[in-house]
Amino acid sequence: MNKYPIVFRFRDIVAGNGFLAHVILDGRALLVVEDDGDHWVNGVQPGAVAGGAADSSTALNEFKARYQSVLFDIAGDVKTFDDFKRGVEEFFAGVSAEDEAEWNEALEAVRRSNASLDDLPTVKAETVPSRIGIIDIKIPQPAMNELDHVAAAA
Amino acid sequence: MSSNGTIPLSVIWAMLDHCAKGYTRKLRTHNWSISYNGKTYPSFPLGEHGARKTSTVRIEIGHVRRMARFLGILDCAKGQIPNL
Repeated sequence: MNKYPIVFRFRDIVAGNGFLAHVILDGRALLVVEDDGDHWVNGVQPGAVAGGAADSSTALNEFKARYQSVLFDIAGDVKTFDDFKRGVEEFFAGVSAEDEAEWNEALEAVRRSNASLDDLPTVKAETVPSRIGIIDIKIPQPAMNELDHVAAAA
Repeated sequence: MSSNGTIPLSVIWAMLDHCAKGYTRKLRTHNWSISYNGKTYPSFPLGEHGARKTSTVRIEIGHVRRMARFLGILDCAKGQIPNL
């Protein structure tokens, strides 16, 4: 089993009941390549989400889809932007000490061995600290349209 | 994905009954949200073709493992589902 620390930037515009929210999340995950060849992306922050597939690209896509589905569920369940913001912040805050330790160990292993992933760019882990921002969109603007980014942490 | 890497939803609920007494689950539009001991795992899949109330729904083992670990019940869950 091989483990690679991942950092990601997800940018989503989510429609709720009477509001539009811009969700800006920089997070961490662990890409695990299992002995049987399956690839799993396990969230570290947020921790309560995972995606799996036969290859890393598809696993990352599933991870993003599962993450997005949680945002959509929260939006569907609440009546106000403030409740949506609270729900997403709780989701982001769900981190376990065990997952953090595993991610840090994987980072140290990558740094020791200089390992890298062929299909992801590499960034210094400290340049993408985990953070969450949730904005109530009053005046939509093209500047709010941002692409997602995923990179291997080193 | 490995074809033997799925678990029936009914088995997962039985495992939670044993390992997470008092847990709650909520069916949402896109996921099951499972809560136990102050933690919530909001991204547990519905299974293929969305939610069904039949015992034939199967969930990939990686999702079960991840959920169990996040809720702090992985050791117990492995005792209930041996190939976890």
